[in-house]
Formats: sequence, C-alpha cells, structure tokens
Amino acid sequence: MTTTKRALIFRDDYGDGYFKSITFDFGVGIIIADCLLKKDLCIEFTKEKINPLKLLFNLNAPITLLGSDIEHRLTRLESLMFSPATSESQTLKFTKDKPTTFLCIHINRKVFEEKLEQFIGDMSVDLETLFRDLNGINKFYYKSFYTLEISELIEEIKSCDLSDFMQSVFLEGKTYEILTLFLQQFTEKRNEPDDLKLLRKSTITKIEAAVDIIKKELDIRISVNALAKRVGLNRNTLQAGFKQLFSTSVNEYMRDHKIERAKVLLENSDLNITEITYKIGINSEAISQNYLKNATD
Amino acid sequence: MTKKISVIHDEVKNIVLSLAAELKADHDIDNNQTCFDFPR
Repeated sequence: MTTTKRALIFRDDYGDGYFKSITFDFGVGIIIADCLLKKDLCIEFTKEKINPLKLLFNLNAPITLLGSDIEHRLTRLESLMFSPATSESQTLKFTKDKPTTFLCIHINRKVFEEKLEQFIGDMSVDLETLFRDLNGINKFYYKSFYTLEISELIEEIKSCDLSDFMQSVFLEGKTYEILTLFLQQFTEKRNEPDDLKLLRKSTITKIEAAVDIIKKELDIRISVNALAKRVGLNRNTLQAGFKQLFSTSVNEYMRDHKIERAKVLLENSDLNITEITYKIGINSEAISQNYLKNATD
Repeated sequence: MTKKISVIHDEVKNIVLSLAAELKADHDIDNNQTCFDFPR
C-alpha cells in the first residue's frame, strides 16, 4: 500500500487549523480540513487533463462551490458529489471567522478503474455511468444531506490517534466505508426521487438532540412520541429525519444502540445478563433474550 | 479581503502543496511526519 500524506497548518496571519491530505492506492485520496480562517479563501481548481470525481462533506459553516454556470452552497451535513466538465473551472469559497470543517474524497477514475474492472457487469447503471466516465468528460453534480452515520465516520477519521501503517490502514478503511455508505444512499435516492426532502437546520439540531438522549439514556425505555416531544418535533418529522439521516427508523436506531451497548458490556464488564438488560432499558425476558442473541451473533 | 488561490487538482497532495506554496511562509508543509498528527 502506498500512501502519501501532506499537511498545511495555518498560522496567525491566515487563521488557525489545518488542511491535510492523504493518498491511497487506486487513485483515491482525501483532504480533511478543520480550521478558522482570518480571511475569506477562494480555491480555484485549474483545468487539468485529470478530472477527479469529488465527494465533499461539509461538517460546519457553509461552503460554496462556484462553476461557470452553477452555484452550490453546502450547509452543515450537506454533501456534494461533483465532477465539472473538463473545460470548466470551479472555485470553492470558504468564509472567514466561521469554523470550516470538511472531508473531500477524490477519485481519479482512470486509476480507480483497475479496482472496479471485475465488478463492472454487476454495477447499477447509475454507478457504472459515473465511474466509467474515466476522463470526467460529463458534467455531474449531486447534492444531498448525508447520514449521521457518515458524520460519525468522519469524526473517527478526525480523531484517529494511530500512526504509520495502522493510521494509513484505518484511514483508508474509513474512507471506503464512507464511500460505500454514500454511494448506497446515492443509488437508493436516484430510484426514489420523491424522497429528496430537505431538512431544516433547526430540525437537524433537534434530531441530534434526540440521538444524544438515546445514547445517554439507554437504560430508560422511551417511546418515539415521548422522544419527539422532548426535542420539540412531531413524531412524523422525527421519523422522517431519522430515515433521511440514518437510513433507519427511530426504533431501529434505538435497538441497534442497545445491542451495541449490550455487546460492550458483555465483553468488558462483570455484569450478569439481568444487570445488562436493565442497563439497556429492557425488562422483558423475551425481548432481552432477543437483544442478547443479536449482541452475541 | 479574499485570498484567491489556484491549485492543480489532479491529486489531493498537489492541492495541499499548491495551497502551501501560495501561502508561502504562513504554513508548515511536511511529508508523512510531524504535521500529520491526528488528532491535531
């Protein structure tokens, strides 16, 4: 495995924070940035023969992409998969005094083809069209909210404290995990265009509050209605938000977290089964057996 | 005032290198070691 890492650390004049890049095999690379700039910054991508496919995930203040005839403004939790026409210049705009945090995955499709070759016949038409455009001739933009699962994976990349070989393997693994989840979301939504409902920022904040409650209060049984009421949303909006951000229902999300918690407690604590079921808020024997079966599978 | 930078975008490392070159002294650029320290 060949990886190359580069880091740019901003100092006083330009702000505080970093832009870091790491390249992996098969033409895949990432840039991860977390900074507070003191000046507005515009990065113009020069016209090159290679026109990589880019997946930009915004985690913080709005980022704007300007092309010759397009303007995309990405707010927090929005993503953009894009590949402008080769003749088209593109500029990313970052705003000063606001936290700039993003992950951008670059894929040089000409090199990546080697990895995809054996799967080409089995790929969906959408993916094949996207990845077979080796030179990036076709203009392509796909903007959407990304799931909080992807958001958590990006946080794992940002907080990785491994080094050398382990770091490279970890980062490459997480990058492919994000890519897979995103492409799944992309192909599903392409087949369900009516599902592209935008979430308001205030709704996202409330959904995040609901997630926080689920994680912190695993030992308490809480209904979807009660959870929705606590965060100030109605049940349907909460369900729709979870579906959009996590690709799952509220109850499934709760169940998955309870199973994960049960797994951790089974492996790392001296608690007996009854104590564990109380810790994850299950007091029915039949249900707890089902949960623990899932936790041990 | 907006800082405008043109970068070559064939590979991610070149984007960071171009940014670093344009920003001149106001950056550290490093290959593989000290600056690439997750977490910051």
